[in-house]
Amino acid sequence: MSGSRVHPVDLGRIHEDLLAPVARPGRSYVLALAALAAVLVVGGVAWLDQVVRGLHVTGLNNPVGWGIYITTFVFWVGIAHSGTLISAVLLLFRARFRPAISRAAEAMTVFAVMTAGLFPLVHLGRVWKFYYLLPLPNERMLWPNFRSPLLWDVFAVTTYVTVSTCFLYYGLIPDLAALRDRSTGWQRTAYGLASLGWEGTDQQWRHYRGLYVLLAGLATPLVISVHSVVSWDFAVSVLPGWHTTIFPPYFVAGAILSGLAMVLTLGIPLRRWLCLEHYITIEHFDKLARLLLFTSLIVTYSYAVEYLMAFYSGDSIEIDIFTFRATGAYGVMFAVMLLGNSIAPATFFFARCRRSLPWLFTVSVLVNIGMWLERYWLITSSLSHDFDPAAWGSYSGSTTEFLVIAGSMAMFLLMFWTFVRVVPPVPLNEVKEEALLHGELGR
Amino acid sequence: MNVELRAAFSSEEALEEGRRAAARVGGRIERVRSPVPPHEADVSPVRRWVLAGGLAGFASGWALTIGTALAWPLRVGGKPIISWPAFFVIAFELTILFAALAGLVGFLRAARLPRRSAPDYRVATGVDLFDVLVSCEAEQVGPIRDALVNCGGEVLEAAP
Repeated sequence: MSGSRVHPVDLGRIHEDLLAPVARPGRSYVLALAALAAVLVVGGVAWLDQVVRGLHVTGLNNPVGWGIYITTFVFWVGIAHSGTLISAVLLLFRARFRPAISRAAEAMTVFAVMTAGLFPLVHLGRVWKFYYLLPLPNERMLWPNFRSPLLWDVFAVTTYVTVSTCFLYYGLIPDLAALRDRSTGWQRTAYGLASLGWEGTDQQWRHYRGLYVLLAGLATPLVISVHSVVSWDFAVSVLPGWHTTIFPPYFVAGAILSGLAMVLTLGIPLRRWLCLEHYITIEHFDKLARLLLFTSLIVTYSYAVEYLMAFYSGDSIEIDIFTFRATGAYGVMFAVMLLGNSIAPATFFFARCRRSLPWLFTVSVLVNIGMWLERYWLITSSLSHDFDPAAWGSYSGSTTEFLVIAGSMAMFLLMFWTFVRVVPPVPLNEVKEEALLHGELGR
Repeated sequence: MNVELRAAFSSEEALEEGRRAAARVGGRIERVRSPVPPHEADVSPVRRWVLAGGLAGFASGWALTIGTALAWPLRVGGKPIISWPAFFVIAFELTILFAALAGLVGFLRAARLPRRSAPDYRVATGVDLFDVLVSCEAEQVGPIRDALVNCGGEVLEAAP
């Protein structure tokens, strides 16, 4: 047998360690979840108020018709993209550190894209008309306009949420069977139904493995296509600062950067709170930090190219919008964005920074803030400062908008932190296999 | 008369040796259960489902976009009624969507899931135990049992 597994490892201990987090959570954990649920309710009430009173409760106006809601949509889609990309691409490249972060990254993806999917609906004044977006047969033979990037978005995001959910659930099947085997009562029934009667036979593993690699292969171009499509929402328009071909790679790199940052933001407390120090190690965080540094350099390069092309073009309108973005109120945002997305990650050139968990966590939060600001900076500046000075305007978010955003953050965190107490946060069979092939993961 | 022997091993290497030894003395390997994927496995036919789903999705994407554009031919933004580059995005997304969903259906069929747990399923095979089911003629039971035991297997039962 080629590449035989020679390391004596205690699979039983790995099994118990990784199933241990799936237990009744402590009081403080439940209280934290309750606090998140309360924020979610506040956000929901703010949204209902908006539905009843109309979009005038937001800061949206003419000319700035896209504000914080669309910013946050793009932010969550970006977060969502990195998860599957990390998991799928690392699987295709057979990266050994993948099992440590793959489950958290995939779960993050699904919950982030679910959160993102709400924002186009929140942004709709008449949310009950959302089905106009769907190609549904109707008596007037009215169909959506498939030439519009907004409709590409509907298809791309819907496909992405479906395939990401399949990818996450598919990877969970053997672990759900392990949970079934140690549960009793209604939990055994629930895990039994969810695990589909998985027994780990050679035939089941054969087909499981076959499809897992194929799903990873399908997810990889899908991820790249979806954030490219989101970037075309802007780039296909003619507004200065938006109408540029660099947007798809720029957005994809930004999405990976923000997603990696979110994996760190969630992974560092996850490791500590669920006692997974032996399975998610400093080495794994070091590798993630290297990836984050790499994507940060791509994003920084994109910022530089954007400015270079604007000034090199000699187009006065382009030069004006890029000057506007770097000065005044937007100038502060630009500085914070550069700090979060370019300067702070550059510290990861130094091993000491990559291996310091407090610093990793700090940088990851800075990147999250920087990436949200980048989208806000990019979206609202072009709308408020287009070709005609007589049509210029300004925008600032209202309390309603900020409450809805806070609710969406709480919803995402609530789903994630509930999920990791219901299923193993690190994939059992992959850690066992890695341990058999190369020695115990992280020990 | 056909007889089935079941043996449990503590490692994948021991299981592999036991399988080979049992096969050498005439045993037929009916099924293996393990907590991790086998190191080597045949290619799964699920890939054909994925291909078929992908092709169906690609065709559906074009059919949906072209069909609806022709149902009410309205020129928008100076673009042709049939705008190939724009419609390609929909065709691409549906290719991936249908391929993934067809792959899942193919997996469920090939792996015969969902199903009820078999009566001989042992929880330990989901933890750290590797188990094999061997069938043979009644007169071969002795040599096969010896082969399995010599490779470190614990023979659990012999059912007619």
